[in-house]
Amino acid sequence: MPLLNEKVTAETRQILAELREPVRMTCFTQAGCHSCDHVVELAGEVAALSPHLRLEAKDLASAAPEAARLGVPRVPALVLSREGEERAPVRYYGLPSGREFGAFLRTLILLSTGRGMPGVETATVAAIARPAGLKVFVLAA
Amino acid sequence: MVYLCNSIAAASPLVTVDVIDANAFPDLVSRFNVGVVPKVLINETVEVLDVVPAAVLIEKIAAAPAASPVLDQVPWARASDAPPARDPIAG
Repeated sequence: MPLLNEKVTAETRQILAELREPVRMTCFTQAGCHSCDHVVELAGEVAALSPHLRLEAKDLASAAPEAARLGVPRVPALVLSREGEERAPVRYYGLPSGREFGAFLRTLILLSTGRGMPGVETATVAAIARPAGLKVFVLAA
Repeated sequence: MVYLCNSIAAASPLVTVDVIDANAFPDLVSRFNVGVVPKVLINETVEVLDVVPAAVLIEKIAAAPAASPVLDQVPWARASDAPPARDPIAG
């Protein structure tokens, strides 16, 4: 049984129609990680709703160099990046479902179109002059 | 807050965001003293607990102490999550 029901699938397809440039979703998994299967499944269902989404699933151990480059120490991890770019600005740990699903979809659109939250543009973030890592704790379900 | 943080990370090449489901990572909840959500941690040191305007969060990120090189050497991976070391003989 799919994770997204028919109604949510239809709404998600409509939302993702805003996508313009391709976005890559790289899912890092690990043998014996039950929740990893759910993340891959959800990402797969979402990826199937837009030709602009690319999904790759990788094993954390066998893809260790790439995981290290992307800053992924844990699973399940879903790394979002613009297709063709080395940098991965956003990484999800755990299933981006429930109340976090909407923000997840909007983040895909943000990466695809470059249009984010009002008030957040290249000029306004120019004040940030050195690398910063943000951890955002949420309750997804 | 997730979308705001992600918007900042998309706009600034210097910012990355880890969105962590507290239910899935109780050890991180404990390690980073997460009592309420959403909770934003900047460079693992500066806490932002309330929903704040974009300009305020950008200011806090800009003013946050640099990421600690010591913290960088202690990744938040559990030992059980770390990729197994390669067998030096088998490769």
